[in-house]
Amino acid sequence: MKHLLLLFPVFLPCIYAILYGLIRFKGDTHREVFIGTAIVGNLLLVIFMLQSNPLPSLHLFRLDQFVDVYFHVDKMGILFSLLASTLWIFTMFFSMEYMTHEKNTKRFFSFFILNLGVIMGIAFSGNLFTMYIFYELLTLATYPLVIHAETEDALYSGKKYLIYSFFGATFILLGMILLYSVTNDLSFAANGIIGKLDNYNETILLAAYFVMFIGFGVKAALVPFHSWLPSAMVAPTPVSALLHAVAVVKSGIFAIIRVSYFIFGADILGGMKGHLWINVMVIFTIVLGSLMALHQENLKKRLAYSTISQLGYVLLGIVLLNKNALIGGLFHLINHAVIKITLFFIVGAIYFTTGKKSIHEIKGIGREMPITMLCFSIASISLIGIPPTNGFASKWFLALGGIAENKIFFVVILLFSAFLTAGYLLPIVVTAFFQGEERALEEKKEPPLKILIPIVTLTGVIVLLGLFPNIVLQFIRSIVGEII
Amino acid sequence: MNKIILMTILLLPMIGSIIGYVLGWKSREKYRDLFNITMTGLVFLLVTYLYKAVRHGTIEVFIPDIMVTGLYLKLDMFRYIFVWITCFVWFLTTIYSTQYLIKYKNRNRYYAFFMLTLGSTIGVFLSENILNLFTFFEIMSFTSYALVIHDEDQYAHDAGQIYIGMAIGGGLILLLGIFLLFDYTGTLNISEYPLKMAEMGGLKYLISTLLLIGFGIKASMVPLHVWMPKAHPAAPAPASAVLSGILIKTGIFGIMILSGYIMKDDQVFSMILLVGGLTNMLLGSFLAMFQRNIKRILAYSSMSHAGYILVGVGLMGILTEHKAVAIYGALYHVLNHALFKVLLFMGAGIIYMILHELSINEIKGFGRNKTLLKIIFLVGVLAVAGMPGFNGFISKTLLHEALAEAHHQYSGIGFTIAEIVFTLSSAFSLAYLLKIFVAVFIEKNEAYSGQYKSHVRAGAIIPALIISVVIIWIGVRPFTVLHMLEGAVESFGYHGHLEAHFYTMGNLKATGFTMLLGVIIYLGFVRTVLRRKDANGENLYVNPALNWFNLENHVYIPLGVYLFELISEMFHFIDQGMIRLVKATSGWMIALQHIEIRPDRFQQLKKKLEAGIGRKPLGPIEDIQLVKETAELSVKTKSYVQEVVHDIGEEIYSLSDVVQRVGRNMNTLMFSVLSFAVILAIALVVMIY
Repeated sequence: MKHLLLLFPVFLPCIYAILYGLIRFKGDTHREVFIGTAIVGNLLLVIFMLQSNPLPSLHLFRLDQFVDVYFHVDKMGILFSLLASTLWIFTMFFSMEYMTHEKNTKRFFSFFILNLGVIMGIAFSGNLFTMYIFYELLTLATYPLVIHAETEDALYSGKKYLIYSFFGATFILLGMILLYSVTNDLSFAANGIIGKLDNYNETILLAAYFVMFIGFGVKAALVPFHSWLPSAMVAPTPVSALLHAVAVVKSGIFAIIRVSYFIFGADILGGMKGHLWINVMVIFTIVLGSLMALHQENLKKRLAYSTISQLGYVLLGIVLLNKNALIGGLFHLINHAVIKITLFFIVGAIYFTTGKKSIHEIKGIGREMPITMLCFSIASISLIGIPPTNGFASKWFLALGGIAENKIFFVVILLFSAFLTAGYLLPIVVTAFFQGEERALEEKKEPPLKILIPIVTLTGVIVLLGLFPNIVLQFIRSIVGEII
Repeated sequence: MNKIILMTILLLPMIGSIIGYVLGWKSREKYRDLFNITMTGLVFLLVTYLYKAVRHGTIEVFIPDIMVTGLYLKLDMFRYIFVWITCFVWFLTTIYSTQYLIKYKNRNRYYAFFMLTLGSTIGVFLSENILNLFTFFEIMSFTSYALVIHDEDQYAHDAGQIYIGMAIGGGLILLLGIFLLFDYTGTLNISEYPLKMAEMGGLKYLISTLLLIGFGIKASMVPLHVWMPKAHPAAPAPASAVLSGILIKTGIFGIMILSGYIMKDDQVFSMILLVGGLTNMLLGSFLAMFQRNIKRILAYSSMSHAGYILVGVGLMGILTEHKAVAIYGALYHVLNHALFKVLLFMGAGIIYMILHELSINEIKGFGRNKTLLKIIFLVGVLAVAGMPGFNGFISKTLLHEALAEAHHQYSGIGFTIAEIVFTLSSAFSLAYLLKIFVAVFIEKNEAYSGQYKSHVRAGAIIPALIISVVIIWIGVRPFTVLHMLEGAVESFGYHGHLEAHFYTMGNLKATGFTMLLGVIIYLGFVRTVLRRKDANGENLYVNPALNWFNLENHVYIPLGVYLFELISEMFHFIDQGMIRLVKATSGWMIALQHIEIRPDRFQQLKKKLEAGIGRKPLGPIEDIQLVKETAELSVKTKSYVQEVVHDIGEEIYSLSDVVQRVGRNMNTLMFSVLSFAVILAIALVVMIY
């Protein structure tokens, strides 16, 4: 029974999503209560489930070694599921207000709840096959959110998103087949499953890793497979915020961590030298993201490219294959999620209250929305990695990891990118606060509370994570200690 | 107890900033101003109170589990000097600000950032952990940015942009250095570096270069000084005062730590510092002579004086055994420069407060009838120039003595040049100061005949008076401060005290010579070469240096722009790379498909007909009716021929056409499935082998 509990966070949202589609709600309050129950309830469920000892695991359906739907909870999964379900709550409040401007809210919230279940599925997958299934489901379940506006542009972006995703999925499948041919096993285990084999064909393994990295890398916006991400910014802001800063891209990252450390293992990968080639792509990801962000006028696009670059940091932390780097990578996974979701919320809030989308339009907006833009400044500084914010904490470990590999080059790239980050974020802050003519009677136009409260709370989280990172770091250290 | 006070000193300004901001929200500005003055005054008192405790031993505070590495604060005599002068100057500047800013907008924001800057500056000086130092350093850069661009006009924004850009860039270079330092020594505590660094080889030069660039930007070392002459004039006067007087010192402080602790008086490194310092000195004072904006003159002067301090720091390493005099000189000058530069900026601020103009061509003769202001300014001028009886003389004498000592030890042409540069810069200093003073306070100008007297407020003039008194007091009784510095010198591993004689015949003679040289330069160069008569017969200063080679406009900006464009182009290409690749591939495929399978029997006919359509109608025809008919006919013929061609085209269908049609009709899903299948097929092939 205890193990069956595991299924609730995964499948309950799916049921909620269907119910939400079927029930006719009397009023907005009922509707919102329903959504709230679904999402907050899920977080509580997750937390409740994690109390059980030992952590649950369950074979739901098993045909053979390959086709085996297996759920298993471990620390890595806990990290990801907690991160996602917490941020889901913030986004829920945000979108309840934000979506009043948009049509088709029913479809939106249905899929919004559904996606939570899918993400939980990814987090709790016990083997690669299960993860692959949920991974594909994620693509399909997010597609309606991307094309939400149903404009020409949105449909085109949706198409692009699908093509890229399926292209990646194909690679993953190929990798899985290759891998299976060597190992006959696809389940995750700390330190990897390959180390336990007696002999193996290194070439095939290398090919499998490479192919899978690219496959998952598509969702993690690895250059040159990143182009879907900026296009997908046509989606409503909550979607961009949650899916394209946190859930979708981070599930790509999460999958790469699973493959690298739970299938292959750091030692094997280090021995194969496979990560060296990938380093090049990662470096390009970091630099290209921040450089392209400089050229974007549209705020959301700017943030999208920034996401690409920041994901590069996390990927770098993963492929450097040492402790400090992985700590930095995992910590940055959390930090970037929190920071970027805040930034997106604020951009959404600006659009919601004033209808402005690009930088030159927001001159002096800091005077109208001081609290919002103050939060933006704090989040920006954090993303640049100026101490004492959380962005700095993660970059500190990443850089130490880079130096430990005896490659100052990585650190230089990190810092260069940080400089560019300042270059594309600070002008927004400066434009908002210090430009534009003074008006005699400043009318405060802060967004409604349902939008403002998530923003302020998340900013608080950013500051706290920066000042007192040690609680989270302790947990990350224990994860890293197990897998390296 | 002392530990709590130490934490209070650090946190009070930061908390005060927030409380002050809230207080000032609902137009209770009087309370806020009072509150801020009390806050800075309290901090100053606390710091002064700590003097006795610090004399007896250092105070250390360590708070683990915060900001990644923990917070490690330390207050020894060396740091105390910096903290004390910071708090002292800040207290006075806050009083001054309340007067200066009366007509300004966004006062609330200004005070909030002003206090935050104070907190972070104190943090820089207190940090024992170099990462904490970096943290406060960065916070300081950001908060002071808000001070620089306070006016929010185009000039301020330009200045702010270069200020923040260089601050962040420098910060990141500094961070790179710290990363390396930490990686090779395994510690972040500054006092542990001397031991650890001793074993390091050539790498320490790389590290020290990185750190030097990072700190050097704040200390306005040539060629990293370009932000300074822009940022200081842009800020409101009290902010310029602390920027010049104190914030530069954070860079100096870093360099002192770098030289004294991390590099442990390395000879090569010290030599670099010495040369850099001399360059700063000479270039700063030389360029200052050309400027016409008072604040810009003062900014260049700050750059020059940063050079004096750097010379002292450099000499610290070079004079291994007898380095005491160099340390004393450098630290003493840190104090003195903070005092007289703040005083001068306050003076300039008072003028700006009244006239909103700083160009000496416009404001000349303004101060002729304002005795108090004149006296204050004169004190500042004489102190900067190093006139005996003022504090500048004391530290300059010490520094000069150190240089002479080095010359004595290592007799060489290099040090002779160094001494010449030293004297020359001092002479230049007098020249540019005379330029201000004579123009503003001595020359006659009908426009100003004392009508603004009532505008000079007590709140602005009293802080300046206090500083003037301190300046003269130090000049007359130099040994009191020297005694204070003794503890600080011990931090650099020197014990015992210094036998110094300031008012000796030799020193006075040397100063007299320098002064004379300064006056000659003023009369012979500044007044004759740099001053022209304009159309109305008025004497106006010109600045030929504007058209000279300029690091910012001729090197940094073009280099940055070209590099940026180049890299951007490259990455634009990669950004669209995948899509381009797909498009190009499909283009090739289509091109491939156009290769017909059938023999080109119809092809020739088609071509011929197409050529027929393409040809222009017959030559000019006069009759309009005929033209119309012909036109109609030709249209008909054209469409008919087109149909024929189309039919022929239809007939030449081939396998490629079929594929093409499929391709056109294929949708997203099918495409995905197809690519899926293709890759599976490849997988199958791989598996078989």
